Amino acid sequence: MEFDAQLKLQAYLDGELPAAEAREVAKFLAQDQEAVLLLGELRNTRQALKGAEAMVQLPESREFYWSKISREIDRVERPRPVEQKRPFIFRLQRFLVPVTGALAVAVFLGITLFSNSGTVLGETELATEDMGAITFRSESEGMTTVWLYDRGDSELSDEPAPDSVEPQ
Amino acid sequence: MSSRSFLASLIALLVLLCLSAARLSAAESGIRVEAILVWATHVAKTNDASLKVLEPQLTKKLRSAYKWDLYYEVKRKEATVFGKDPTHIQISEKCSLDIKHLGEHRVEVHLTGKGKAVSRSVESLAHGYLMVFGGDDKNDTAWLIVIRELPAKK
Repeated sequence: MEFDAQLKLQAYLDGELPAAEAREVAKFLAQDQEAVLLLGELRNTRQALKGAEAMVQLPESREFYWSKISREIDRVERPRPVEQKRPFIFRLQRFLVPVTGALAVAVFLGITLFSNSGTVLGETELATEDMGAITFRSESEGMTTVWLYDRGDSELSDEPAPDSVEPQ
Repeated sequence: MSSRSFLASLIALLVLLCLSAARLSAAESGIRVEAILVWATHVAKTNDASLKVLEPQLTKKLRSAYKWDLYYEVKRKEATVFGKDPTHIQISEKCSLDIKHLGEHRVEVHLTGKGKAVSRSVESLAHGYLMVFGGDDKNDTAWLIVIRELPAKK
């Protein structure tokens, strides 16, 4: 039996032939015992497949499902870029940058904190126990006064008191 | 590390270094200060040519702070003070100042009287702030040393 005739029998079984061709095949079957046997075989096979094939319900649309598979195939088949060996300086910068950054922060904080050590605004320290000081800081007046007083007369200034200045 | 984050780290690093350098240079750079020795009294002084009436604006400020009505300028000295070494200002024969710039208009003032260290004070002279040392003198008068920052010379 020819291959074309076998295909036609398959199409006949599947109901894919036009009416005229289907009638011809039916006539042919009436005359050819081998064709009848083949048709029976094909019918049995289809029946067996129908019963055994489990229907799978896709969680998404058919197009999307296949596009996922297609993308995955593309991804797997895409050639991986060849990893180039990076120069030493680039590998070093991984450690160098955070270390240098931390160092810069430490330097900045050090300068900020220690450059002003012992420099509290309005602070007055006396160098001698013979003298006392009263410090008055007025932000509103924009003035800080350090009033110094001695055990005796205040003679820090060598300028003599003006002659005309008399006690009240 | 991506090149973008590397660049960002580098910029941050440079900014920090610039800030540190700016702080250091601010203290190193000088500011101009003025020290005025002032007599404060209740009685007008008319016959001493070495004394002159203190400028009105400063007088007004001192009047609002102290009990005296009249203020005479005895001596006035200008100096540029730096951060490294203190600048010596001889305000009178017995009294001198050593002023150091700490940066950001802050100054450290060492007062010396009769050759002996008297005090050390720290103050900011920003925005026309005055630092005044004072003490009682004879006949209910007082001496004052007014220290203030002068605008930078152009």
